Amino acid sequence: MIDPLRRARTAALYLPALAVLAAVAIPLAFVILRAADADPADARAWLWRPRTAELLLNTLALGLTVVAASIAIAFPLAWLVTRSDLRWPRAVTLCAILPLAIPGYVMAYALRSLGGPLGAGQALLGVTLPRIDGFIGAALALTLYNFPYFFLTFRAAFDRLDPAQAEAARALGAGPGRILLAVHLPRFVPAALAGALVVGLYVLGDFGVVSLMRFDTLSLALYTSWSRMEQGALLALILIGLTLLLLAAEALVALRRGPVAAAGLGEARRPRPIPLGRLEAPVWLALAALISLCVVVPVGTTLHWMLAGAAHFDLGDLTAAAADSLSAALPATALTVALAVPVAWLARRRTWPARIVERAAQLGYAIPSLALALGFVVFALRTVPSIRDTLALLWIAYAAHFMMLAMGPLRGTLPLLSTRHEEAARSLGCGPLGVLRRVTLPALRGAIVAGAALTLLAILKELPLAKLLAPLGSRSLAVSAWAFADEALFADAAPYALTLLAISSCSAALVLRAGREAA
Amino acid sequence: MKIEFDGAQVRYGSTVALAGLDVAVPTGEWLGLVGPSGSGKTSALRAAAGFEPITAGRITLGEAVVADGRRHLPPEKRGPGFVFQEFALFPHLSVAENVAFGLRRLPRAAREQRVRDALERVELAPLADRAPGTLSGGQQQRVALARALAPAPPALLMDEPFGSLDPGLRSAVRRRVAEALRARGCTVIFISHDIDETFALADRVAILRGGVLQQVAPPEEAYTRPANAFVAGFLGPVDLLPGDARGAHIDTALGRLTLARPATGPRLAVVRPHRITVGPTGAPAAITERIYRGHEAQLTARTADGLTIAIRLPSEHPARPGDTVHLSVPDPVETVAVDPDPG
Repeated sequence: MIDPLRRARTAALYLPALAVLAAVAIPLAFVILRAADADPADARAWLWRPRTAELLLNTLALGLTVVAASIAIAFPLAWLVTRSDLRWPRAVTLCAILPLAIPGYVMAYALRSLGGPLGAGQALLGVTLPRIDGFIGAALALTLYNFPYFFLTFRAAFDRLDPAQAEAARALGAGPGRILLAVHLPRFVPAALAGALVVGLYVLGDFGVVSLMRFDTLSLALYTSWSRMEQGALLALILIGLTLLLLAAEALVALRRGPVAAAGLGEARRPRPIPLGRLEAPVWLALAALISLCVVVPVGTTLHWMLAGAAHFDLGDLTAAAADSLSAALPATALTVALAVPVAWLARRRTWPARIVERAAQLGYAIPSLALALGFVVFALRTVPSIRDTLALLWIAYAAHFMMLAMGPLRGTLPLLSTRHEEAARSLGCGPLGVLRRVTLPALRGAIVAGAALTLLAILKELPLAKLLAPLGSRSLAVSAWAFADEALFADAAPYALTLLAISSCSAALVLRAGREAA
Repeated sequence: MKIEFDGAQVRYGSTVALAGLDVAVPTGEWLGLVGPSGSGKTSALRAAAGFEPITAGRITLGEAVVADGRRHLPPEKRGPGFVFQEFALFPHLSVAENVAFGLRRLPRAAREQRVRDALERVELAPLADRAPGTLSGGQQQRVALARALAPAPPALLMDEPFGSLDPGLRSAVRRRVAEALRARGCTVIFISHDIDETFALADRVAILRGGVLQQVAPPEEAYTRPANAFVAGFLGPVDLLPGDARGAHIDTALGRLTLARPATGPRLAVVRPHRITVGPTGAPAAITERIYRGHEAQLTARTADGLTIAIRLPSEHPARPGDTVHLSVPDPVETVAVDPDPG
């Protein structure tokens, strides 16, 4: 009634939302369809093999180990930089976040190329280090990549601890033990659970690390059984089921926790730092060991192999790979952002279609990439086989997978923009198109650019979808680095790994900046 | 610009937010809208601005019918400015850019002059380059006022325009904004929850309840001669004494009171608490409560037939809970009809 544009605008919001929903639902549906093709008796027999149980146990053991080890590193580290009198806390914080800039498969490549008689350790230190691979190698690489997530959430939780709460508890007669258990610890449980979910989903979907470390998980088994799609589909179903379980657990926790609200007014006071005293030297020793393991080793090893292979380095190969990466990433980013803007706009109203689309975007991000890739391949083969050999399939898969990333900054900005702003602009003489041009789009510009940058960088370093969905002959930077490392051609992998380290650093810097602005 | 509502109705689905409002605001007048939450104040304001369609009736701005239930002129073509309770500052623009938003047709120099003038009027000139998100609530509200003032609209619609200002600045900003608008002959309709503020600013007050206009009158008239029991209570503390009116007087629990205007039958006498005197003669009543308020004491008394009466006395008065006092009303009183549901 107010203006006919409103109706057209509503349609313009729902079409992209439907596209996103389809991009996530279709691969899932085709995984199920493909699995349903299997003879039920064969499928049951195949699934009930000890091998399936072994894969499941391997995956769970890896996930739990990585979560436990990450917490064991991150919690004391967060305490040190927030509560103790440790010197240079900002520099230590920066070092603890740096591993975010090292893709898991580059970390795995560095660790694997370290040991053995031909390894970097022999060349650099003159000692033959033991080979790092298998369960230990995978757990180490994944922990070093993932503990910063826990570190960031724990640090935030420590920062939010208001000493007034502890004082209130003491005034009510609680001793130090009860304060720790009843006042402080509950503040860390949500942070730990949220971190465990992120890291758990990451381990479930990881392909790069486990393949280079030769540790059999569900994802790796799905990759090795790629040519037998029926069995692949069954494994993909298990992966999807585990993902849904983790997401449901998260929803349950969020529901019990209720909305996160600042309970109380006024500024939290900084408590008096706790002196480290005689522990200071051992603490610095441990910090030095950690930082050299998670930053110096990967960067140093990659540089070593780069120099070792400098003689037959071919810039042409690197530029060709970069071109392949960009031709996948640029259109995919444009598509993702073009869909993300209207979808985020729709999602800010808490209506049920908005919730469904938001959940779909979340699911697209959480589902292990290999399962998603399998769904898209089955979909292509059964509907339009010719699309299998084009980049279009990869673009769509990226849009489904990275929608969440592109929407992230928009979700922070959109609540600042209410219908009141549109009304204010119109009472100042601005027509509906003028509102779009002068208010809505300019107000969102920063968020759109940030979302696009996050998406672009994430796609550039993405491995499994690029490996499985790119047309024949296309070899992106990530695929090249992985393929050479997989064949132990460590010097050949180095230029690609270094380029990815640079891309990944930009990406991490962006994430951190966005996080600071949100805080 | 005159603003006329003729039977204007606003509905949300089956809920009637504004039921046939009839008010004409002549050019240059300030009309204050008051009423409890959900009484239709904001709906009336938003209908005039063009943010809500009216489902029946007619709204005229100046000489133009802008809405009549079928036609609906979009807000940007109507003319009045609007000040939002939520400020609605554009987050991506600086303070000065927000204020300049409605001045696009002016040449650059004139535009910058207008922005400076508007910001000086609300005492914000030093903050011209700040982002709205970095300002306090009161500062944001002043930016919102400056943004609406800058284009010099012929009429201004304001929803709680001073509600977030800190008490120190509130009356000063109010006076300076009013000065500017009065000098221009701008027609103003504003909403305020503060009755004192409404009385101070408005030429006439319109009291709404449940979407229905109860009374529209100059502040003094609405206060002294309320149209009904609801208006009497909404505009300030009041004792409504049931009684039997007999032409020139009415018999109540406080005795026989003189009527300002003749009435007959069962009526409620409208007595403001500070009009009740405590003396040697009058109706006996027991003091039940005393609240000290500095310049006065707020007392509650119970008459012999169980009626509770609010009284205001100078705080030096010795009456304390438990005392029996004698109450009388020396001045002539107004009456209103007995309201089954005074709200």
